[in-house]
Amino acid sequence: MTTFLIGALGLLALYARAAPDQTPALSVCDLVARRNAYNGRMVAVRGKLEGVEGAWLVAPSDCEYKLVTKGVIWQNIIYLAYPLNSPAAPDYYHADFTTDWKAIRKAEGESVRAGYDPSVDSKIATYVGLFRTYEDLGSRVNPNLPGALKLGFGPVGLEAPAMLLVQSVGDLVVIHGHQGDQETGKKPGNR
Amino acid sequence: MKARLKARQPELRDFFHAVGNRAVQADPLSSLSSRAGLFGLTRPYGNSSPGALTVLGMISGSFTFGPISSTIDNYVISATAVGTGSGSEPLPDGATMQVSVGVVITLNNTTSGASFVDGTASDWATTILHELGHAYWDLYGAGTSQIQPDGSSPQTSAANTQLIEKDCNP
Repeated sequence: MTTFLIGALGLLALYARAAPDQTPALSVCDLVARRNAYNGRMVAVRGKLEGVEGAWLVAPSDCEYKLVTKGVIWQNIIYLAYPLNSPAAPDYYHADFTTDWKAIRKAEGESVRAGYDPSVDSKIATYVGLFRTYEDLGSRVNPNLPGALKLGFGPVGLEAPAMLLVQSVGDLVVIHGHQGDQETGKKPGNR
Repeated sequence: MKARLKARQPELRDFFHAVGNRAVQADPLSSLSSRAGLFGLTRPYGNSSPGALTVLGMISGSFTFGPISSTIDNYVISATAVGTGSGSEPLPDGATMQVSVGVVITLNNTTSGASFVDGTASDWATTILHELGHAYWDLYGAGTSQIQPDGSSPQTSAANTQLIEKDCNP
């Protein structure tokens, strides 16, 4: 029990780290819940990374916030993208900052050195960037067509209710094994 | 990165020009994709979709270059497609379906091993057809191409690419 508590507190500390600029980082759960208040603002958010073709932050499964529009449930996830300032990209992909590629490469290097194995390990990191959501999120669903897509952010099928245009990343931690699930109180492999 | 960006964009325009010329002359893309049944499918809700050449033309201004992130170390992603905007697509029964009204296709021009960094024109075509398949789902609804969502699965992504290579590069 004591060992579990120490482990749980350790994981809590991993999630609670401050952003690279020392701004307290929001959780994915809180940011999705308060998405309209943060829409269009620079934020720091810390969460677990997922994704293969693209990347996104996911809230732990004990996040109590449920985003439901017209009876359709959205996942508590934030799609990560780099700013696109080309004419082909819509305005909400534009940003007036330059991504800190040095920080991105540093995080990638830390992941490699830590021996990250995507099949069993988890990555947690703090991202700083411009937060975006759709104000009309509620109308971007097809409640009467089961299986139809929700029009969120990210590649088809992801359907994220929000997006972060990445400026920087820091405090990357690789959690080996399925310990990343312990913050939810669930047993490994129980997702 | 900027130097490569400038170097690659004219080549992509040339590539589209060449694809367009071939399409007009022999319609190879349309005939191959129609034969294979990869694109332009109609789904149970009746959400139909036009042929590959039509949609390829629609999205020809939707390409941009840039880096693409992945959580898997050393996993190279050549391109991604994301839907933009929203609109109502009419269904035969009078109902409507919310779909994206545009797409942004980002082509990775910064990572060694990516199609548009180290690949041939044939690799570029495969990449674009792969993303075209995703664009169908965004623009016309789920299932309007045989290319499956693969954002979370490298196996599905590889299977999608194999499907394109098998049926469009016989």
